[in-house]
Amino acid sequence: MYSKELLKGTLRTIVLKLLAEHGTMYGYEITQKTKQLTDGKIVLTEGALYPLLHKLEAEGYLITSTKSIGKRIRKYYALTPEGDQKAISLSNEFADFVQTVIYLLNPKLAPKT
Amino acid sequence: MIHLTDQQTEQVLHYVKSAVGHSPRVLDELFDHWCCFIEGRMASGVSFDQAFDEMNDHFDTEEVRQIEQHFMTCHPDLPWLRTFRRVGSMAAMLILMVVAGVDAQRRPDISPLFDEHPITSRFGDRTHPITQEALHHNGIDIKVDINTPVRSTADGTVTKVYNDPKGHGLYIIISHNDGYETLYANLSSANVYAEQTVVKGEIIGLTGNSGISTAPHLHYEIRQNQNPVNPEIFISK
Repeated sequence: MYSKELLKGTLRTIVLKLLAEHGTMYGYEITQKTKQLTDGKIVLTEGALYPLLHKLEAEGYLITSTKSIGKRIRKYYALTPEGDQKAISLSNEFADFVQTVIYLLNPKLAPKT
Repeated sequence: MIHLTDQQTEQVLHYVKSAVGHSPRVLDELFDHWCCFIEGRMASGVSFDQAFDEMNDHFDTEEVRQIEQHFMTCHPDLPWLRTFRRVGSMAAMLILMVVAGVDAQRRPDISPLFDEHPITSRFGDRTHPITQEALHHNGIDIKVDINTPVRSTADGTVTKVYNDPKGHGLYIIISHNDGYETLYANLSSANVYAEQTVVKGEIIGLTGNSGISTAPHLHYEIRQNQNPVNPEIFISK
């Protein structure tokens, strides 16, 4: 598991990208998918996930729908067109960032200029 | 697929409720989250009781409190939340009635704020700070920073959420049993709507400085059969 600090800036990208890939998802499903795809290395706690989902919704990147399952109410999240754009731009930026950090940590790998 | 039985679901709801307090906004989503967690664990061969214990270990109440705070500041009101909260409140009320008994929830005998804050103007006759008129003060003024959560002081039904810029500012009135009514004024936001049921301790809004006011404070009133009574007598120490 990575540190909270490290994950903090990337959660937004992860969640938006997951929704872009999988369409409509609910909170628990997002945590499970993340765990599964990262081999348990990235664990989204409910304390990080739900505030983020609500923030993204308030910002207009997500739309929600609900379904009642017996006594439970399940809330589903999906991307709006703006959210779709945001997912693309954030994941591109992040991939670029990762590449830069790799060069920074291993100067030998950096392309010669 | 494993589905929790009604009784197991009830047990989880009760647990989540006790951990989350009385904020149905967080409750509904976390309730489903933890039911899923338990079902997932049961699918991998763990007993309900053991999965329940694991949930207990994973459940970070401090984190949940932060979520609750976040919900308060993130969005004042959204239509879907209304349905959520109504169902949540009703479930919460039912549980409370069974667990704590009805009587204890009836009287508005707790402070509308979670922590202690100084009372800057008491109940009774006073000179109005702005108009300088001699007037009866129908409630108490509690000095408190803007955006502090305000809670319902007893179980009840919201009868009014209204903004009166030339008076109480944004205020909420809740009707309780036995002819009691409480009023919370000068708020910055209200998180309940008229006709919604609330439980004792449920967060209903945030303090502010709206209406005729010289500084951020909460004006709090209790009325018994329409007559204002001194809230300080009701707030148990």
